Amino acid sequence: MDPHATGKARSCLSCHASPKTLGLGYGTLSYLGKGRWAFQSSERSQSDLLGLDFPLSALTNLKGEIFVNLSREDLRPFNPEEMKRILRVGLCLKCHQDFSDPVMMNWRPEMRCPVFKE
Amino acid sequence: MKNWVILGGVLLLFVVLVKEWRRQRAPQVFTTTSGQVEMCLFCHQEKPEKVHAREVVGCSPCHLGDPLRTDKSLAHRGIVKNPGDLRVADRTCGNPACHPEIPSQVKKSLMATNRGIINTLRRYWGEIPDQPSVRLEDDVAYLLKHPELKSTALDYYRKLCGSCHLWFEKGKFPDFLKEKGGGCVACHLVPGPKEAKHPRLTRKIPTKNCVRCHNRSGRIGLTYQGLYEDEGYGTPYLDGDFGEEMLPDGRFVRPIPPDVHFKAGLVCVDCHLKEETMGEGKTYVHFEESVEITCVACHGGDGKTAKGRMVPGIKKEKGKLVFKDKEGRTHPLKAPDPIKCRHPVHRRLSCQACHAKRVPQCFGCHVRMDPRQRQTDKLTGKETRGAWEEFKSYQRLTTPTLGVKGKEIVILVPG
Repeated sequence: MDPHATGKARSCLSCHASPKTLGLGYGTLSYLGKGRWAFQSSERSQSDLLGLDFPLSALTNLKGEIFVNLSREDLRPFNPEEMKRILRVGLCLKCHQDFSDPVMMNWRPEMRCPVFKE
Repeated sequence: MKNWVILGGVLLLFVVLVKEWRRQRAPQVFTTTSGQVEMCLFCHQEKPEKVHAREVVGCSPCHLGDPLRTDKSLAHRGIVKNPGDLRVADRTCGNPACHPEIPSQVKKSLMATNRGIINTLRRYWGEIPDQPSVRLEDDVAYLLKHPELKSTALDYYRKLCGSCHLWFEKGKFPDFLKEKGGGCVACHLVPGPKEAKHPRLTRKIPTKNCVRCHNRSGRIGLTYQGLYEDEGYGTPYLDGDFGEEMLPDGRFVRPIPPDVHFKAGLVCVDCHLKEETMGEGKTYVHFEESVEITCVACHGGDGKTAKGRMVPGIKKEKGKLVFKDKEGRTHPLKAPDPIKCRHPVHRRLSCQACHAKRVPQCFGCHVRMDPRQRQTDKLTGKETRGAWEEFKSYQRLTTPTLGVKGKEIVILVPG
């Protein structure tokens, strides 16, 4: 949907380093190296009162399990591969903050960082 | 006996004379500029706006009744207070001399049918197959004719959703519901000057009219204006009263940064075309099939909607496309950033994925039905057994969660 809240674009980090944006919900993401990630939800994993066995703000998890029904047939949360791709850019953003940086301007998925060892 | 007959005759003559003496006789035959006899104008001084001027249109083409009579009870036979009501719109607004093609289109529009709401709700609740499809009964008009059609999802719809559609009778229900609905006038009516004693009809639909309905679910009508429905229950309290603004239905809202288009003075119908809002004669299940305006139509595009129609507000000035809003103000159109927006890594992103920084999100939304209570069915106006209540675990105004729709990255909103 369109929230009708158009304005200046959100920051790169708000997508590329945010578990909430990725559909994991509120919590902490940790990079384990070699492309592996861990996520710790800040919510309870169950809601007994509502009979739900997933955190309320989560749509999916890093394994790709989908917790909620979405309102359209062709609508889905990001899959694990897409999440990894998005999060990988987040690692670069520590040094190359936005598109004003030549590295980001010319960024390609196959590029490897000479400083940070993935 | 003879005396009684004479007395009766005198009395009858007296009654006839008094009635004749009291009868108001029009000093002239009132006609409209087209020569139609319109005796309503003898008594009625109301003045609608120029387009529907009393001298040109008269009263009866809109309000029906008998324009040839001056006797109130006879003249008012068959009169309608609200000509915009979809039950009569074919004979009033849609009469052959005025807007004949509109009512049939509007009746097929999603704002009249609520087809998307009804279909999605019934699919979610497992009452119909899990494939969106055009079904005859997923339509307010059908439900109005078939009160016997019952199900749990329909009961919920009738009681909690049933006041946000164009068939809703304006003024039938109390409180904030009084202002809602009314068919054509749900959108096109605005208050007139006091001395005119008649509201005005307009094509410059104010945002307020749209937001009478578009203020729940995604809360787009509120967010657009820079309002967030808050859980603060009116706190902080100031001077012994609620410190927050209250909506007509009692919910509290607090100010947030509005949409840039709202800041520029644009109303909903500056962007949204009549084919989107009033329908184009086709039957759709979901709003995205009906909505055709896109960001790129104005920003970086050729001024055409997703269905190839020219956006009415877009004009060419000095070789550049500009936007003229309903008030006649000209707005320059900014093209998307060639690097940030057009970078190949972002080719799947919708504009909103980045440019909508905040959206109200309701986590753990759920409903409860108490079978011991009674609640009003908004379609029939009758109270029936079973009262629905909505709950949420918590609500936040925060950056949106993203996901994938087809080949596009879009915003996903819980609730």
